[in-house]
Formats: sequence, C-alpha cells, structure tokens
Amino acid sequence: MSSLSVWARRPAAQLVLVLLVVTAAAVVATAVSDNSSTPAAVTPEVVPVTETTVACPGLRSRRGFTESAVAAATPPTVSGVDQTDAGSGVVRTLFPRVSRERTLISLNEPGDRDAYVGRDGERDSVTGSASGALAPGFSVTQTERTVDGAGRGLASTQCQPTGTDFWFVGAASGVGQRAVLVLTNPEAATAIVDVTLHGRSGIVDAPGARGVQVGPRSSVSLRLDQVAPGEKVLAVHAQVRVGRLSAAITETDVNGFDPGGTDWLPAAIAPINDLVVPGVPAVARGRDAKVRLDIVAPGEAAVVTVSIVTPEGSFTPQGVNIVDVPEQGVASVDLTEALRGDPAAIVLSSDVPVSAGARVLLEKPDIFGDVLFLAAADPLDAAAVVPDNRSTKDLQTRLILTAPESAASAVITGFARGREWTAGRVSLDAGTTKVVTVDARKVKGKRVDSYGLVVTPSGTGPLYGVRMLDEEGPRGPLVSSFPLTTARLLAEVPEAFPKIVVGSAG
Amino acid sequence: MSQDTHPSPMPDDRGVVAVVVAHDGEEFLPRTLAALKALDPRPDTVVAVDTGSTDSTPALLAASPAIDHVITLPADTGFASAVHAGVESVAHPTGWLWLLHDDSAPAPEALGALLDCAVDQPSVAVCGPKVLGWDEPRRLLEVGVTISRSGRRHTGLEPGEQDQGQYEGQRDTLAVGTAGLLVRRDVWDELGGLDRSLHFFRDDVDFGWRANLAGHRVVVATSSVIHHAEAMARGRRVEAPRDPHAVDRASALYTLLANGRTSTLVFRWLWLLLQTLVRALGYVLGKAPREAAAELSAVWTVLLRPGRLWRARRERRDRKVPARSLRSLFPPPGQQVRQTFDTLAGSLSIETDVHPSTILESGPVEEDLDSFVAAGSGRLGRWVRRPGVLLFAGLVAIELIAWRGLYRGGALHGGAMLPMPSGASDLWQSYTASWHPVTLGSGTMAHPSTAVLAVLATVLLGHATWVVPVVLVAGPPLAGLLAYQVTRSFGLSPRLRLWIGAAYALNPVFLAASAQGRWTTVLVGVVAPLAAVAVARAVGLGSSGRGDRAISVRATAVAVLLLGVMLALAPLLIVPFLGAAIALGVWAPSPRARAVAVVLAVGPPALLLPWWSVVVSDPTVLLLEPGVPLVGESLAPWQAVFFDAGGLWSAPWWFGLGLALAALVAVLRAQQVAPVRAALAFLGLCLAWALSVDTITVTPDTSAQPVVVWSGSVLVLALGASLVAVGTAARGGRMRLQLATFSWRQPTFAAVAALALLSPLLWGVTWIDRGADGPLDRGSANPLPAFVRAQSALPEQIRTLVLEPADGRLAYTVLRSRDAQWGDIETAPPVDRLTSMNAVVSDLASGRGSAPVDELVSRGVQYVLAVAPVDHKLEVALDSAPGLLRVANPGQSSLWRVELAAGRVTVLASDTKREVLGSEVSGDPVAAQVQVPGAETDRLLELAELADDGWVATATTSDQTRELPTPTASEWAQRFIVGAAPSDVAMVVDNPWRRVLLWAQLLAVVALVLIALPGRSRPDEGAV
Repeated sequence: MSSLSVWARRPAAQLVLVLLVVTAAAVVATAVSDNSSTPAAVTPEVVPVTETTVACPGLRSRRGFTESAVAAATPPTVSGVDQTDAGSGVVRTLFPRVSRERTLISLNEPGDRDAYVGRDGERDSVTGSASGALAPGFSVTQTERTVDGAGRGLASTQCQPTGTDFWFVGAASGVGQRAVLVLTNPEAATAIVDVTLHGRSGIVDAPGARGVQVGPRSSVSLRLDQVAPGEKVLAVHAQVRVGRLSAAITETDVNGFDPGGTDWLPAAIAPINDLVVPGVPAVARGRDAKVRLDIVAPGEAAVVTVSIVTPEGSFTPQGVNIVDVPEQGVASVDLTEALRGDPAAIVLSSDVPVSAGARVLLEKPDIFGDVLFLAAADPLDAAAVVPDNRSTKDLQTRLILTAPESAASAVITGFARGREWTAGRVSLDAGTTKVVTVDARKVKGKRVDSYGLVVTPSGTGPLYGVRMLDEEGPRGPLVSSFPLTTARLLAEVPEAFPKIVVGSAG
Repeated sequence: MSQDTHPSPMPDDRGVVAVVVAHDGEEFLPRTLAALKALDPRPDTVVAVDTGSTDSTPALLAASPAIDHVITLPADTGFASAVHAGVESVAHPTGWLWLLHDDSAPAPEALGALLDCAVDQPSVAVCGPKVLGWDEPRRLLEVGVTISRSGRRHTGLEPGEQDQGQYEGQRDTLAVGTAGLLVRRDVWDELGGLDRSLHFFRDDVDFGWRANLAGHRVVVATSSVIHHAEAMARGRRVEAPRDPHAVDRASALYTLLANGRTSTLVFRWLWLLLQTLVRALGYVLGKAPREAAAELSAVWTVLLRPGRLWRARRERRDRKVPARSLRSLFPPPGQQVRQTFDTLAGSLSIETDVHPSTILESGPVEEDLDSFVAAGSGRLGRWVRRPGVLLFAGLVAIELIAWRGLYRGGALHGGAMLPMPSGASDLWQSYTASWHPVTLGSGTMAHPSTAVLAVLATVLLGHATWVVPVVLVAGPPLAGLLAYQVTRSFGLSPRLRLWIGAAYALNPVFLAASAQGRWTTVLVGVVAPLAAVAVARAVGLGSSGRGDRAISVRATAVAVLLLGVMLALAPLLIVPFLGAAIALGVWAPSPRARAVAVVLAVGPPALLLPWWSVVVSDPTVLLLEPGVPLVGESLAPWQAVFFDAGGLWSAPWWFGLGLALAALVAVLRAQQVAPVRAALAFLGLCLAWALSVDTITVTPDTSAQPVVVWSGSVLVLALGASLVAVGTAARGGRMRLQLATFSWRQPTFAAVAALALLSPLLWGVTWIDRGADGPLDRGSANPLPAFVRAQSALPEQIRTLVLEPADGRLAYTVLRSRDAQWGDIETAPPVDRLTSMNAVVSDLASGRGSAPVDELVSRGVQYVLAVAPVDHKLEVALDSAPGLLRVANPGQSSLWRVELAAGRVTVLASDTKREVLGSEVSGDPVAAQVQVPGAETDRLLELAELADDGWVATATTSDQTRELPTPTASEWAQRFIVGAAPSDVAMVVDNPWRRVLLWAQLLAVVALVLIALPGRSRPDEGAV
C-alpha cells in the first residue's frame, strides 16, 4: 500500500493516471452518448376526408347531336373509413347568384351513384361537393356523346378538385383544331390565373392568357386557337395566382368538313424526371391508330428516353427511343410504328423535369375516327373511383392497366343500385400492360348497363391505368379515356409542433 | 505695453527683499537654506516667516546665516498673510520682492536671471522661474501657470515631462507660482499683494491674473531655475487645510469669478454651478462622499456668497487692459477634454498593467519587453510597439478576414442567432415585460442574457443590431489580448504569453461559436480572463500590505458581477463555478478566502434572481445557452478532450492535439507549481462537465424537439485553464531541461512543445480559410410579405400561421407584426399549452376538407404561409381547404388568406358570431385597448392570448370603471365577461411579483457596481 502511494506521488505515475482517467471518461461518454438530434420518423395518422369539392367544365347538351351527362358516386365501403357520420353529396349547377343554382344530383349514402343527363341547350358549369360520410371517394365525371356533326365523338373527363396548378400536354391550335381551356371557379371569390403556353419552339407569346380573371361561382372559356393560333402542339400550364379553381381543356378536330373527333385532355402531373403515360389502347381488327407522344420541358432542354410497356413486356422503340426536347418547348414523336397496335403505357425518363401527354387517333379506313388523349399520371396509391361506366352491345368499358416496375395487382369492384360486386381481379407481371373489359352485370334481376367502378390496387408495385370508353358506332369508332386517379378517401394528418424559427437553417 | 503707462521710477538699485515662508519644513529647509546661501547674486535682505512651526524649523531659521531676520506668526496664518507680514517687516524701501517657500531651493543664478529679465524690460512686473522637481531634478513642474475654465490649475505640461530645454526662453504667462516669484515692489503695492482670502490654493494664479489685468506683464524666465518639493500638493507636509479639496474648489471658483469678465459673469456663474453639481455627482458615484461634500461646500462658500464676490470684484475693478486681450494666456478650450481623455487612457493602461501583476505571487516578475517605458519618447510609438498591441492588431486582422462573408446589409441571423430587435429599448422592454408577444403569447421571464445584451446595446448607443457583430468580430481578439495581459502576473515570458493569447483568441470553440452565431459563448470567453483576475484578487492571492481588505471586497464585487454575467450568458457554467467555489472553500488559504468562496458560490446565481422562476418550473434550461437549438450532425463526446465543441462547422479535432498533450504533460509539474495544480483541477472539472453534458439531449418546455446541449462555454474555460496550466508549467522549462542530463525527456518535451505551438497556428489558418460565417448569415430572415406585415400592424393585430414540413411532421409558428427575433426562443409559450393549436394545424394541413377556419380565426390567424421550398402535398392540402384562399406567391413561399376576418380581440355574441375589435395602436405590443359596442346582454370578450392569471381588463362605461370578471369555464384564450353597455376596455398583464424581483436585481447590480467602482486614490492634480 505504501509503495503504491509512493509510486502515485511520482509525476510520471500521475501523468499515466490522468491519461487513463481522461481516456476512460471520454470513452464512457462516447459510449453512453445519446445526443442524436434527428427525431425518429413518424407515421402520420390517417383520417377519412370530410369535405370534397370538384368542378366540372359543364354541360353542353344539344338535342339530336350531343348527349351530355354528369354522374356522381361515393364508393360503398372503403377500408379504414368509418362511415357512420351523416353527410351529403350533391352536384349542382354553378351560378354567380346562389339562388339560381339547381341541384342536379343528390346522393344519400355511401354506395350511391346517380347521373344527370342534360336537356337541350343546357350549358351550365357544374360543381360537386360532398361532406361527412359521403366525402371519402366522392367523384364526379362528365361524359359527352356526339353522334354527328363537327364535334362527333365521345368525350369524358373526371371533374377536378379545385387547385392552383394545372398542366395539359398535347392540345393543338392548328387548322381545324379547336382547343378550349375551361376555367371553373366554384369559390365565392374571384380567381386570377396565369396561363403559360409552350409550343414547339418554346413559350408562345399569348398576352390574352395572362391574368385571366374568373369571377366567383362562374367559369371562363379561353379559346387557345384564338390566343395562340397555328400551334401544332401546345402544352398548357395554368397557375392560379389568387383563389382556387378547376381547369379542363377540350379539343375538337375537323378535317375539312369531316369531323376529326373530340375529347377532353386529362390533366398531366407537374413536371418530374421519371413519368408514365398509361393507357394506349389496343387497336381492334379493322382499325387504324395514330399515336403521338408530346413532351414538354418547362425549364431547360431535356433529353428523354422512351420505353414502351406492352402485354408482352417492355421494350425500347428503335429510332424514337431518345427525344430531345427544346428549352421551354414541346417535342412530339410518332409512336404509331413502334406500338404496332398493342395496348401499352409509355415510360419516360428525362434528365430534367418534364411532363407529357399523348394523342391517339382511332379510325377506320374511309370513315370517321375519334381522338382520345392520354397524360402522364401518378400511380394509384389507393382506390380510384369512376362513377359512370357503361356496358352495352356497342359500348365497352375497358381498363388499361400497367405495372411498369414490379408486379402489381388490383381488385375491380362494381357498384350500382345499392349493390356491389367484384368485377375482376387482375394481376400484372412486372413490366406488363393488361386490358380488362368490364362486363355488364345483372343486379336484382335487371341488367345494369351503367354502374360505378372502384379499382383498388392490392399489390406492392406501382400501378397505372386509364378508364376507356370504346364504342363501335355506325359511322366509325367513338372513344374516350381518362387516367385512373387516386380518390380522395383518406388524408394523412401530419403531427404539428411549434417551432419559433421556421423556414431557415437550424 | 509702453513705458508711459508705468510712470513709477525705475529702481536704481537692486534692492531685493526675499521672503521665505516656512512651516514645519525641517525636511526641506537645510537644502533651501543652503541654496539661499549659494545664491549669486543674493537678495539684499532675506526675511523668514515662520508660521508656528512645531519642529526644528525656528531653530534652523535662526541658525542660518542666509536669513537676516525671522518673524514668527501663529500657526493659522495663511501664506498670503505671512508674505504680507514679511514684506511689511522690512522698513527700508525696496525695489523688488522675491517670494520663496521653505521647500523651494533656487539654483545659484536664479535671482540674477530673474532680475536680468525684469530690469531690462520695464513692462515686466512679475517674473517667475522654471520650476523643476526636488528629487527628480530633470522633471518639469511649471513654466508658468494658468487656469482652465473649470478652475483647474493648468501648467500645460504632460505628467512626468522631462526638461530637455524644450521651453527655453522667456514667455508671457497668466501667472507664475509663488515659489520664486519676483515682483516689483510698486506693483505689489498697487495690486495689494496676494489676496488674503485665498488660502493655500490659486493665490498665485489670482495674483498673476490681477497683474495682467492691471496692464503689467507676467513672464517666465527659464534661465532661472528653482527646485520645488511641492510638499503640500504631494501630501508630504503634514499641516494642510482640514479639507483641502473644498478649499481648492472654493479657491478655484473664487478666482474665476473674481477675475472673470463682467459681461459673461452670469453665464460663468451658472456654468460653474452646473459643473460643480456634476462633479459632486461623479464623486458620489466614485464612492468619495467627502469630495462630493467639498464640491457642494464650494457652492455654498463661493457661488452662494454674492457679497464676498462683489467685494472681491470691487477690489479688482481697476483694470487697465480688456480681458479679451489676455485670451492667449488661457488654455485652449479643447485642452480639458484632451486632458480628461489622457487621464482616462492612462488609468486604463494602469488597470491592465498594474493590477494583474499585483494579484498573484507566483515568482519574480520578469522585466517585460513592454514594461520598459522610455522617458520622453513618443507616447503613440511606445504604445504601438507593445507586443500586446501587435497581438491584438494581428488577431483583429485575422478576424476581419474571417468575417469576409458577412460584410453586407441585412439582419444577422442563422445558426443559433436570431435577428436582433432594432433598439436597446426594445431589449429592455423584452427583459422587463410580463408578457411576450411570441406565437400565442407567454408570461415566461426573459432569459438573463437579454439583460446583458441590453446593457451592451445601451453602451453602443442603443444599436442593438451592432452588439453581435461587435462581439463576434472584436471578441476573440479582445479575449486574446486579455489572456495575454492577465497571464503577465504568472511571470511568463512575453513570447509564452503571446502564444497563450493567440491560442485563446483563435480557439476552435470561438470559431464554431462564431459560425453558429453563438455570441454568448464568445462573450463568455472575453469575460473569463477578467473574471479569473477578479476571483484571484478576491481570495487575496498574492496581495500584501495595507488596503487588502478593501481590494478584496471590491474584487469580490467585480467577480460576482462578472461571474453573474457569464452565468447569464451560459447558465450551464453554474456547475464548474459551484465546483470551483466548493474546492476553494475546502482548500481555502484563509478564513477570508473561505468567506469569499461562499459569496462567489451564492452571489452569481442570486444575481439572476428573476430567472430562477423559469428554472424552478423547467430545470433543463440551466443546461442550455440562449438561441435557436441547432439540429444536425451531433458531436462525438470524446472530441471535447481536444477542445472541439461541436462537430458542426469547427476545425478538425486533431488541431487541438498539441494543446491537449501539453496540458497532459503539465501534470508533471502539478506537484511543484500551485497555479498548475489549480488550473489543471479546474480543467478537469470543466472537461468532466463538458463530457457529461455532451452525452445528453434535453427537451425544454418551450421546445417540441430534443435539443443537443452545447458545451462550448465550458470548453472555453477548459481551454483557458489548460493554457494557464501549460504556460505556468513551461516557465523556465527550457533551463531545467538544459540542466538535466539528456534522456527521453528532452526530445519528448520538444515534440510536445512543437505540437502545442502548432495548435494556434492551425486554428488561425482555419479561421482565415473557412471564415466566420456558416449557418450564420446576413440578409432577410424569412420575412412575412410586406403587405401582411403592414396589415399585422393595423388595429386588428392579425397574425400569420407559418408552416414548414420537417421529417414527416409539420413545424409551425404564429407570427405577429414582426419576424422571430432574439429572445423569442426562451420566451416562447410552453409546448404543452399549445396542444390545441397543434391539433388545429394538423387538421388544416391534412387537407381532409373541413378546415378549422373558426379555430384559426379565434387565434387571430388571418394568413397562412408555407415557406419555400413549399411541400407539394402541403400546398395541395391548403389549396383544397375550404375557407382558405390562395393570395399570392411571395418569393417562393405560398400564402393563403383565411376568408373570415380575424383579429386579436373579438367579442363573442354567441358561440358562432364573432366580431373583431380594433385595438388602439400604441408602442406596447402586449396591452390592448378596445371599444366594445353595446348590446342587449353580457358577452364574452376574447383576447387571442394564452389564458393567464396576470391578465386584467378594466372596463370604463359612461358611469363607472370596473374590472371585468373572467368566466369560470377555462378556454385556451384569455376571456372576460363584458357587460351590455358600450365600454372602453383596457387589457394589460400585471405581474407584481416579477416587478419586485426585477427591482431587487437592479438594486443588487447597482450596489455591486458601486462597490466595484475604484475609489479615489490620488490627490487632485490641481492642488498646489
């Protein structure tokens, strides 16, 4: 003991002791350290949406020529949604004076669907709103069937929730191409919209498209062939500066005196680097199809790689696999040859954010054809709800589904007259496309030729799809389609916390 | 001045009568008498006047052959009376009078030179010699005197100025000192001699002034030399007026007012009164009540005695020349300011030069390079060549280079830093406020660092935004300079101290703190050396001799103040402080040191008194420095051993390896050298504490996220301690190693020394290389759009909800008319009071539809801002929220307006009907003053602030004023029940308890400052 204390008095020994103590302290401190300041990721709570507002571009019925209908539906049951609350789901015409509005459709409970067919000359804007139990999945579509005349064709669109940023790719304002941008404002305040038009060589100078004012509860139609005439292809970017509204574009083509088809352009997703344009239809025997892909690069010039996903798998089309998109411009590429009539989705990969759309012209030799538009879409995160589907002798409802990356599957549920049924289960291998034709079904002993559909992705891989209406009319095909979009069913409630300094480093 | 005005006959002989006034002058008389004897020529008659001396003076005078005869007068006879008596005792007429003191020894040729000067020029009536020091025969004391506007006796010489012939020749002056004054007898009689009412002081100035006014010249002949002990002025003569200061001031005022121009008399009187009062106040602050009383008594005896002044002016009414023509004889107006400044600079340099050297007796103090003061060389040149100054200049240069990224406009923010409010008054208001308008409001006591900040901002003339740049730029160099100065008392060589200064200034903690905007840490580092000195003096280390106790009390006060400031800036220092105080108490060398240790343990925390209410409710704040909690890469605690405070934006840890190794090696000397032992112990304490806090995160009540504890301030102290340890251990090390036999030691120590020298070098390079910015930035910090800000300042006092997604969660704040600013972090409302607000924000951001618009409006939220880059999901959710409309995209952020009108004060007629009331706009962002319109029933008045007992609403209706009751059901917001009649309602927060604590704190600080202020130690220079 004493020798130890003597030893401990030696400076060198003290030095060694101190070194040991400090090292030990540092090691222990580091080992027990719990000072990671990054909080663990949290999974937000999920609740059903309680209110949904959509706006449709509007009825445009004309007796003998155009049958214009809106249909609304709330899906019967959605997993995770406790539908015990009361609620309402109505579709009404939109008029600056509320007292003059008419209720077109009124839903009573989840699983209801109803349609309203416009009378002759009825040309009102339409808004749909649902609350409470009817809000989750509430969706409204608009379908127009014009059997004759310059606007011959089948057109359908999903009424958009009001928002502030809209992209449409693939409209045209050339000779015989009449594209109209319809801005519908269901709110009680004026909205102001800036519309930017991208043409082949960049932004098209269109002073008339700047600062468009849309009054409360009303709509404004902007004819693109007037504000920017002579453009073979246009990408339209509508940005709401003040307020909130819903936008849609309809295009009607004529070839001389012959109708060239009509349809609504579905809204494309905002520009990103990798995107999928689903829904190129199969070309039935005896038909021709022309497919043109349009890509807009809103910022820098883009180099886009194109690949195609068909039922047999995906491939890179020779000769058209690389597309150069000019700065702020739109590039088009004809994929007719590459597609060879197969149903497909077009997968794009770009070095800078781009958006895309496609125009498909289906026709029979020597008689009239019809046009349909596709757009870059988001994959289905959850169920998509389509209220208005038909299955008659001539008119088929098809779903064109694509799993571009990995295997995916979906459950297709039909509903009508208070009943629901499984209309199909689809599984797709990775990198394939499938077309599902939904059959008509008897409910309560009666055949329903008009019903709602819920497409619920059940696998893990991303699933893209469109709903297509395909009619073999006496004077040629009538077609229309729009992408399946995730219905507003559930909302993630982020955890909010107070923080004094918001928006800067720290 | 022609001869015509002096008709008096030229004295044909050199009949000179010398009058020597003596009083208890045995110390000086032998030399004076010898000098008188050696005079050539000699005066014709030498009269000695002894004013009641009690020592051997009468005997010396009587025995001296140089004295012709001696007159003895009573002890209370003044100098003037003594001279008059001496003059009158000479019966025969004389041409000249020569006045001498018992402590003034004229040079042999002094009288001759004076006579030469005076006789040759008939206009000269008074002639004086050049006065040199008694013991320092080359030191200039006087070449003529004059008087400043404040009555100060002014010689025009610098203190300690040496005679190098720079004033050679003859010059006109206002007056000459009475020691060696030669005056023509007729002029003496004409003027009535010295004014008998002036005792001891200013009699010479008054006499010269009168001579000048009477049209005679007063000159100094520098060929005549006299050595003067100035015994009375220097306190070497025991006999002095009972209250020399009072007599001095009274004489000064009397002289000025008696001789000054009539036209400006009233103005001058007022000026002197004001000046005297200010000086009295200054003396009170300087803890010199007797001097203050003396000033005031001067007012009484002179300024308020118009009769005495009137008599004096009547005696002087016979003026031959206009006062204006004498202007050149007075000191220029700027003289006094300059002199004051010089004195101040001198006292500062004395502070840093002398005080540290008296604190520690760790060995013989070496003759430093910088302590050599060359006599007579240029003051500026001397100053610039000091190593400390060179070190400071170099460090400032490095700092200015490092600061390069921040030379632009805009508020300093980023990292831990928030923009400062614009003025010191805002800071004071924030510190003393009972309610803080942060998000939904809180009554939390402000952080004590706000008070420090407010003091600094006040010192910087109210520019609160200057404080942090000044601290961050000037702080490290100043810390280095202080470290250099303070270590002087350890007897280290200047080179070693330069290394210490550089290492301390450039240390990586300062670098990381600068980059992170942690000005508090830098300021702690600046204060630390001063606090160390104060503590050392307080415990009486090394001091000896008289006045110890006073020094210790003062130093204790300073130490408590400085430690209190450090605690205010970095509360987590409380642990090392308490630890050190306990160690001091246990191992104290004396009972007094033990008492000091207790005071040092209790005092500084007690100084933060009002803030302890916060600590009691949430002790975690003790661990946190003020400022924005930083999220990011966390530090591996072991790096603290190498003085690396934060993995964030610092130098590589191994740059500190050299210093850490050197500190380790210093252990070898711990047994022999006490300072090494003390410094190492403190280093160990700090290091242990830093390692402990580095391992944890804490979540204070005001934060929803865990906060990594910043141990930088502790590490700064650790680093300082290690520098002291290494420095003192290395003292004389080279010699010891040279003497020892060669072994492993020499190469090892050489290597460690080289590494240790490398540390500051590497750190300095890092400073220059990476710059002081980082997260710290300048510019606009996430501003509200201008129109929203403008609208927020309107009577409705609307707010904006600001959102930012963060790792799947959503951070939010509620802004009023200003952005977040310094102090908001600490005064934010407790997170658990905001749970209902959290739910509202979650609901809003979910986009599920029914937006909680009512809830937003009830919280005064009119706008919702999503900061850039805007999360797409959030944007979609808000775009779809009913009742919320997009307004604009200011910059890259998105803004929505709530469609219902919102405001801070609302009246609830029913549950759904809400009416916004405009509040009168005033400077106070907290109080609300509204007019409530009449209604049929009682209603609820809702103030969109978190409910708090402190809120008081007073309603004034047409017939009465009363306090409004609060409803029993509690809500998140503060509500009152307001009656049916229309009324004016004023709502304020009252927290009397806090007010009491703040006053107590103020009193404590003022008391400490008064105790800490240096007392008067030197006699007034104006005294003669």
